[in-house]
This record gives sequence, C-alpha cells and structure tokens, in this order.
Amino acid sequence: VSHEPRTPLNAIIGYSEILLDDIADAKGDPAQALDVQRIHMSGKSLLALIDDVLDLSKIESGKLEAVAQSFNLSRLVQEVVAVIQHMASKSGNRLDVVCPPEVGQMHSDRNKIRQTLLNLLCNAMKFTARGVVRLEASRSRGEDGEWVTISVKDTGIGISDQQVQKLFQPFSQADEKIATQFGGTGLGLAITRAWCRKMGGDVSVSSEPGKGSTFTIRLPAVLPDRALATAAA
Amino acid sequence: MLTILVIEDNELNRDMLTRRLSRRGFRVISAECGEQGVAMARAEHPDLVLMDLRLPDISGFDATMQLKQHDSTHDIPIIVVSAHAMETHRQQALDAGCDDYDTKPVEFERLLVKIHRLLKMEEDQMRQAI
Repeated sequence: VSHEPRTPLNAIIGYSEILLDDIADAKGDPAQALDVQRIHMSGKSLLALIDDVLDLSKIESGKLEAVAQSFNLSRLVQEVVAVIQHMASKSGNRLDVVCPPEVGQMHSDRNKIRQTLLNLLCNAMKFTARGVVRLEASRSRGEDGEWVTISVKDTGIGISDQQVQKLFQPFSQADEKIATQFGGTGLGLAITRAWCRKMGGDVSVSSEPGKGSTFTIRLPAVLPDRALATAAA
Repeated sequence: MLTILVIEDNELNRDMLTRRLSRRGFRVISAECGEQGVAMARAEHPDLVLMDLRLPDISGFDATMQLKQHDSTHDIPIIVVSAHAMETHRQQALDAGCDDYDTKPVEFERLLVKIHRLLKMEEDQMRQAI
C-alpha cells in the first residue's frame, strides 16, 4: 500500500515539470513559470513528508526491517559525499571527510546507513553557513565486538540544551521558525534514531549554541542477529 | 527514430512518460497491462521497454520473464520502473531478467541517462556483430 499516496503526487510533480518545459519552449510568461515552480517545489516537499511519515509508521507498527549486506564503508561514504557536495558549495561550506580505508567492511543495512549519513550531512549543511562540516569515521574493537563510529560535526548555529531534549521526537523541530526558514519535515532525526537502534546502535548529539553541533552514530560492524530476527517476526 | 514501449496501467503516468519521451525525440507506444505489453513487444519489436511492476493482469516480473525467454524479444532491453523502492523488489526484478531498475517518482533526467546507456550498449553490440 505504501506507494498509493505517492501515485497522485507523482502526477502533480510530473505534470508541473511538463508545464515548466512547455513554458520554457514557448518562452512563456516568467510569472507563470514561477508559479508552476512553486507547485513543483511544494509537491516535492509533500512527497518528502509522505516518505518520512511512511517510514515512521513502519517504525511505530514494528514493521521496520533491517536488511544486512556486506559493503565497504569508505566507498559508501564517498558515494554520500558525492551527493552532498553540491549542497556544500551552495551554502558556502567546506566539507572535510576523514574516512581511512581501515574502517573496512560492514555487514549491516547499507541503505539505512546511507540515508542516515545523508540526513545528518544535510542537516549540518542547512544549519551552517560559510563554515566547516566534518565527517569522521573510525572503527574500534571492544569486548562486545567491532564497532563503527561516524560523527558529523558542523560550525553552525548549534542547539540549546532545552532543544536537544526534544530533538529526536517526531514533528519537533527545535523551533517553529526552523521549518519556515530551513524546511524539512521534522521527522528526519526521529527516523535516524529508530534506524540506528534497529541496527543495534544509537545516535547521540552534543552541541553549543552559536558554536556548532556534533551528531555521532555508533553501530556494530556486523548487524546483530536479534535485529534480523525481529525483522522476520 | 528509436521506439520505446511503455507498459504502465496508470493513465497519468503513461501519458506523462509518453509526452516527455516524445519531446526528447523517441517514438512511444504504450500498453495498459502485461499481456497487451508482451503482445505489442512481439509485434513491434521496440528498442527498449519501460515496465511497471504492478499491472492489473500479470505482474511486471512475469511480463519481463516472458519477454526475456522468447526468442523474438529476449534482446530488447527492459528497465523496470517500480513504486516499490525495496531492495527485495530490485533483486526480484533483476532476477526476472530486466537490464536496469528505477523507482517512482520518476526523476526523468535520471531515467533518461539509464535509457541512453542501454540503447548505446545495444548499438555497440550490433556494431560488433557486424
């Protein structure tokens, strides 16, 4: 069922793209083009919201699945960085990446880790202007097996202690003005946390207003069996 | 002119794809269900097929398999375009023999890149055969 709400929305987005092409071809009214662009952008943000709500409802109904596969983490990081790079240059930020080949292989849910990294980097870019965003990955071995730690540190506006409390709750952007100014659905971090926990790890944050924030995810290098067992149930 | 067969049951999606592909210089034919799509592919031998997965009669997986198993259509590249953004569906589609996979909502430029890549491979193979 999950794709059903998206079907009509796909038509709204697709036809607004066709109209934009039509207007461009006919060298039409720029004011009209602007209006169609607004329809298009609103459609896209509604689509993002629906995707997030569907993800969240999967989490809440216990239907969340973690699908393990083996992959090279630094290659995944490279892939994510390639996607986010244009956002970095647009917001005038420098993106530093420290991900040595020694972080090696993971056997976990590649897609969820990819989305998580995109989400954290996207947030960092949104809330930082002409600053530095730094992604750092490392691997450690403890009594409870091997762990991968990835942190995303920015020099952005930061988050107050009070806001940090609510940060991972659904629909609770730190501030109402945030949604207007920065966009976003207010679900990204709630989903990120649920995913990290599903994969046997967690996400944490430390922040200082005016100085910047660091989000850190810590995951087992190999997805624990119980995560898979729950997924199958 | 290269011909693309769009197999898609949703009328608006079919219309959108048809118009946008035509604008980019393709000849587009379309089918509303799997059986009709398979028959059309056999009759018209298009250069490429865009296949929806959820069709009213046979599934896009089955239609893909039928095309790939039949001598007259096995060489036609197929891109499965599916609303199921699940890794399992992707694997299932590839197992059924499709050449590439994309998800809805269709990002048209991304889809075009995949179409051109497959058409170019086809062309290179033909050159080699000659």
